[in-house]
Amino acid sequence: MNHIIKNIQRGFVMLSGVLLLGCEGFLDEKPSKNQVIPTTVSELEGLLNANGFGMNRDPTLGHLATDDFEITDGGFMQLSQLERNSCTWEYDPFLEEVSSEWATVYRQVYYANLVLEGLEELEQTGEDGIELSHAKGFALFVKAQAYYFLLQSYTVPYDSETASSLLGIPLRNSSDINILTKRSNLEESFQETENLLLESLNYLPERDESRKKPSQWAAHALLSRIYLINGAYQKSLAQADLALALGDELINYNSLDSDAFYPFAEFGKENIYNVVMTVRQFWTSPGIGVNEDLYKSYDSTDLRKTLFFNESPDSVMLFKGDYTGNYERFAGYGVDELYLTKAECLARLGNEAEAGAVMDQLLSTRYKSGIYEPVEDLTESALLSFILQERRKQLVYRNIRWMDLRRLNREPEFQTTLVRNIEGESYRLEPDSYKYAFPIGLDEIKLNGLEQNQGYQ
Amino acid sequence: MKLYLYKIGIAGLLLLLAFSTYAQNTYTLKGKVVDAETGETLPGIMIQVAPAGISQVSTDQGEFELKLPAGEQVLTFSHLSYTDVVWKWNGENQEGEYLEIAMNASEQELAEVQVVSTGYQKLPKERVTGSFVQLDNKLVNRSVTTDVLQRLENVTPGLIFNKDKSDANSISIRGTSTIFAESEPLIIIDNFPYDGSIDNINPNDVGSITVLKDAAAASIWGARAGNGVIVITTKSAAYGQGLRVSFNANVTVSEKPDLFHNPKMSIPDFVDVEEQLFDQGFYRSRYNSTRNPIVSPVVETLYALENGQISTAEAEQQLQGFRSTDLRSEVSAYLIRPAVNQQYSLNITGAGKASNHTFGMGYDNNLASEIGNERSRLTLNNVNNWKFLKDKLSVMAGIYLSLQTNEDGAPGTAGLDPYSGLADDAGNPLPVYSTWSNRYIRAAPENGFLDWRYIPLKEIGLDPQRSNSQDLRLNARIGYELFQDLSAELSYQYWQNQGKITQLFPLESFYTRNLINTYTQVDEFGGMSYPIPKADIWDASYSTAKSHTVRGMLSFDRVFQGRHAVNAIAGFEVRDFGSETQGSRSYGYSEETGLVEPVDYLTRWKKAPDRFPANIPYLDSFEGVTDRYVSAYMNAGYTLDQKYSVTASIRRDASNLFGVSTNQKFVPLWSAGLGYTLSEESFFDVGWIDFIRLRASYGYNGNTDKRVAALPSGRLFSGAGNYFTYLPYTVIDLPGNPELRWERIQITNLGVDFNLFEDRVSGTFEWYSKSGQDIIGDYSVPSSLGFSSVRGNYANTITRGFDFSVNVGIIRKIFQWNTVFFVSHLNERVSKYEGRGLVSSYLNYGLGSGSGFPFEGRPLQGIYSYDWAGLDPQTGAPVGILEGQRSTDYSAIIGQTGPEDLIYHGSGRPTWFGALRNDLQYRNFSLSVNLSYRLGYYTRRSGIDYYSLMGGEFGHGDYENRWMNPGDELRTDIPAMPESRDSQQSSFYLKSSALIERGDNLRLQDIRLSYSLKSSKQWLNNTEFYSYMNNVAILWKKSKVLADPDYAASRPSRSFALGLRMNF
Repeated sequence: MNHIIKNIQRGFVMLSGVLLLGCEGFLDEKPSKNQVIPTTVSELEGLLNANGFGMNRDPTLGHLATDDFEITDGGFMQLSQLERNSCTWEYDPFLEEVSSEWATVYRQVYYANLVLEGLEELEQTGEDGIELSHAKGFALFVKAQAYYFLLQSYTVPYDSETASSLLGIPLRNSSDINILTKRSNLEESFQETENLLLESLNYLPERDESRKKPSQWAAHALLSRIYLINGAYQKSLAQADLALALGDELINYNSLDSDAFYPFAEFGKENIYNVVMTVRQFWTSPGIGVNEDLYKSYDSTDLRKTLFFNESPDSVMLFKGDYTGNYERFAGYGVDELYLTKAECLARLGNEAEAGAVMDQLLSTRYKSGIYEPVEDLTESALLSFILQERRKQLVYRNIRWMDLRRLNREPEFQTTLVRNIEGESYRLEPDSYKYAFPIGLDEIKLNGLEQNQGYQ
Repeated sequence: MKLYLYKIGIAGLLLLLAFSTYAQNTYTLKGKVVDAETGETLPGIMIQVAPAGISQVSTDQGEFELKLPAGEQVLTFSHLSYTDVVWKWNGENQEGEYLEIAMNASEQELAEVQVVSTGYQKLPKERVTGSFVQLDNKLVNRSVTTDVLQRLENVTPGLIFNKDKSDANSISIRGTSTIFAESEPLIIIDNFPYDGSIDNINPNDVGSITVLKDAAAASIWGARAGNGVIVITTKSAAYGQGLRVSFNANVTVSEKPDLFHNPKMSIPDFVDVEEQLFDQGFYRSRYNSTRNPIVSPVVETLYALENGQISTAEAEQQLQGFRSTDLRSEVSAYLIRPAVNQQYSLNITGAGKASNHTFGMGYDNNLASEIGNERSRLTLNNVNNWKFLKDKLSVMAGIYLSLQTNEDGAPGTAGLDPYSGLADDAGNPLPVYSTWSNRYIRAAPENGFLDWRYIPLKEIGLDPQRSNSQDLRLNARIGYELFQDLSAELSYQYWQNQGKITQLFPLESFYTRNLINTYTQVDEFGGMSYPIPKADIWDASYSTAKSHTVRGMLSFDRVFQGRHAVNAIAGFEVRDFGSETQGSRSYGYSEETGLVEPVDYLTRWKKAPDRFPANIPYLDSFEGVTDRYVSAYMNAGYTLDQKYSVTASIRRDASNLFGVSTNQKFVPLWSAGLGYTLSEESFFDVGWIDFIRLRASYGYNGNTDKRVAALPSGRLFSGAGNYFTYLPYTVIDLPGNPELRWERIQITNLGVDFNLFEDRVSGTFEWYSKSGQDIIGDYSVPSSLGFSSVRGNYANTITRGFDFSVNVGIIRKIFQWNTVFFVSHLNERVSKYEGRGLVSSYLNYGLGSGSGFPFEGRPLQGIYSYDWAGLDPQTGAPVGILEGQRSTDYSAIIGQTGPEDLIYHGSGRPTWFGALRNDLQYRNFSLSVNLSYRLGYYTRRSGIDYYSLMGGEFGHGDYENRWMNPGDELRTDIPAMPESRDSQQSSFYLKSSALIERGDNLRLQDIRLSYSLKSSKQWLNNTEFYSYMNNVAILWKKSKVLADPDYAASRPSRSFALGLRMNF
């Protein structure tokens, strides 16, 4: 009873206060405790950390189209329609009104824009400091990374000759929902991505030891990737070197336990920045295993054979070698990838000796102690093939295979035709197929008037 | 609890003390009007004084107070239901005179109350210009329900209960102008908006209900009145009535729910489909998976046979067992029962000339149809009114307390295999397949886990969720007559709700065993450890909500020169609502000692059996909500010669709407009205028309949605929910929309009220036009904006319609036959929509869920479908239309059909509805039968979804009548089972015209039969025995396929109530 009377007293005091002082403060109370208009640096940065809501996730669609895996008929039946269409490259531009992967990535762009706009307002009020700077770098990086994801999924592979006449992606410079954006050309899209990353270097810390946030280390790694895609090997090499200068330590695979359920530690040494693939039924469905030919290509003394793969009752080999150290699929940036990119660039630029040395450094940690024999006397093209084959073996299930297929198809000697046999039918993906770009969602065609990718009209 | 009772006790003592002296004023005549037979006081009696030209209406307590000029006057007391009484006043008062006028009921019993309440003031119906529907006590008491709102169903013109929503109390008054803002009417209880759950209100405490439908009636409620207002007034005593006691008791029994109402395929057919999928190898990888996913009993049996673990005969026997078991029959036999609701209420009223007191008490106890679920409610209330200082000062104090207890202990059966058995032949509980593969579950105890089986019958009442709520309302009002005809009033309401929800999951419960097992850790040597202790789990959540409302008001009421009647009110209102909820979970709980054990929330454990890493569920939470309004209002009316009325009202509201800048918070809303009583004109001389009055009103009501914001609003989360990174994070719920405005509903209302043929026929016809402006809704945007839908002001709507109700006294002798008929028609359409919708936005609505989507010229809640061209005669596949040609390219049909190409059928909500009620009375017997009808609308029915069936899920009953052989297309529209699983075929078929049905129906809603007995004993006034049957039968429906178009998934059970009401 007492507390009721107290409440009533409080109510009267408060209400008479309102009547005397007017209602300004009274009506400024926010309706819900945890509701917020993000304004502070930590609230804003919180947006970039919303991993459960699609932040820092790389679309799985590309992986579904690669030859990293194979699938049994029974496994195929368990998949969703979209996943089945993707596995057989029979994309149906009308299946999804809103392409879920596209929407996830553009959510990342929206959050990044909100953060950049919010930070700008804070800067105008004179606020600065290291946290603000890092958050700004984080947002620029997230936006650039999102563009990179989109360019790998929804545009045709990059070609420096024609890029300015090919379709790119909508580049969003504002969070305003009343502004619609059309597709830029492919050259502009890559240019913007590059610019964002270069700008982010001004704000990011050199390294983030937690691996949970991007750093200059990660930005250099992504720049190196993008230049590799563009065929700018000199620039790619330079970025790989800059990244390696910030950290080049490799895990000696001999120190790992191949019986462990997850052999790699979470946020381990070679993990530069932890990005994961989008959640899909595909990842937990039975009947899906690593490509058998690829599996056979690992030597029995190659530690990766037992650290990466596990037998399953479906007679397929399951992948367990995620650098996330848990069930999420790693699609982030690794020190191992930097070695491979560096070696490839060196080889392409004619510096075979150094390229071989880089490969030796990496591979000596992947084989049983004392077994590995250094690369010797490989001719230029054989060395490149060797590096690319090792790249495939090291970066399996990392969503890098799709990027590599797209860029290597430009070179006749590295072109690949993908084949999948399912339920008695054989499906193919030719190297020059329009299907290397996925269809844009119906919502963008109908509500935004975007031009659909070639082949899906 | 004790404290509350104590408080009520004190109030009761006051009841005995509170008689103050009464002083009279010269030329002021006071008195009351009573029913000559029952002695009940009569509100709403028209008192006209000639030649002074004064008129007044008796108050709710049946009282009047006339200021009379000198000289002889003739007072006429009149009411539709009573014979006029004429009384002569000799020109001066006698000392201490208090007039009591007894009126005899006129032959026909037209129980129309002539006073309407807006929640701010009570007005004589002859003076109002707006649209009101008044439900008197008799009508409120006609049906027997626990819930008060349900008593409005099928007796209120213009008000409909929506059946296309899952919420049973979803109400629309004259259509719905909005979807995403608040779409339910505002509920006022005793003059204040009610913040609690309507379940707290005992219908037996309700005296009357007024529904406010147009701007002139409702705009006084401003920004929250856009969906109409329901004003509930609880019972209170009348001054001078003496001591009254009434008692009411009833019991309602409902039939067991019919689980077979929603047609499903036969169990043997489903087993066949599973066998077919097995033969195709569909289950192979799932069956073999190391993650141990669940596979159905049929599939387990077939693999056991294939692996040689059982013989063909054993397998056949098991399969036969599955074929002959139906989970619905099992649930019906073991888990449900006829629901039984008991209701008791006691009302005591006592009143002297200067004070009155009401005490009410009610108890409800409901046993739900699910065994293990029950609910009870105890309500107590006490209202006191006093008058002091020669009646210039009036004081009111009221307390309303409602205590509710809910217990939900029914075990879940959702997701179980449709042929799961719950008990063996001897009635012993059986385990069912659940959670993981049965091989894994069976082996669990050997592997060191707790018993992992789910046995539904053993779970009944084992871990019930118990919720308690204490709902308290304190009302106080002080009124003072400042000058003659001008009075000031200050009212205050304090409301508080204390809620507690607890759930004890004992170790034996499946929930606890499952959770402990899931987190059981097995080390490399096979050692087991239990991060969740092997003990009970205790969940508790506590909530407190409270609101303060203060209202200050001046009111003026005077008749100048005998012909100019003026009434006006002006005031302000401040409301502050706040709620807090705190929830927690304790592991390792011991009920005996109250001890709990700490658990390690931070480690990522490997869950069994799939070894996914996860943290122990952490359920501590804290939430708070604040809701504030500041309002000012004014309402004035002027009536000349009791013929011509003009009314006007204006209100401004402001609220702490999140993210909207302050100047946008203020929305002025206003209304104006005209009334003209034609029959009062001297030139009016139509013999058979006793009374006719014309009304017109125009104005704006508002509507709000607290959830939309001009700036992006998000929520903050702690790092606990961020798997792996554990960084705190922010999520944006709604992107900001800087151009956001409050919805406004512009309403025009034209009405005519009439009494004809010596009041034998009376009724009201009203035409209205409601125009919703800046309607808030979700509209699709390209996902490159970061969202695929955005909420904002996106459309305008227009609803035009009419409500007509008529009351006919057909026979008015000893045998009485009275008929009430009403019809409401509405034509809703979107008048402006600038955005573009995606096809799916239009197709999602219509299956008892979802919301319609705007399309210019059509109702918001419209039913759309893909064009349908029958079945392919060769294959039995569904055929659609693509570019004018028959086509089975479903993907292209779906992709290339725009919203404008869809077939538009019509409204998803009734465009015509109403009821016909016949009340018959012969001596002591009364019979009332209500027929209700809903016409002119469509519904989408569910059908066979081959995509999910071929994914191993149970299917629709249409399966039996599917196309199987060429020629079948002549008798059926149900497609053949396709060769391969195709989601686009299912998407097309399920949204095609083949599954659109008419909703039109006519039903015998309810029957009430009662016998009332006048007692010869002095202490007993009368006794009524009544019986009431609800949801009696559907008499006619347009759809041949649907058993009940309004209740496709499950129909309300027929119920039968018996009751007794006594007045002392």
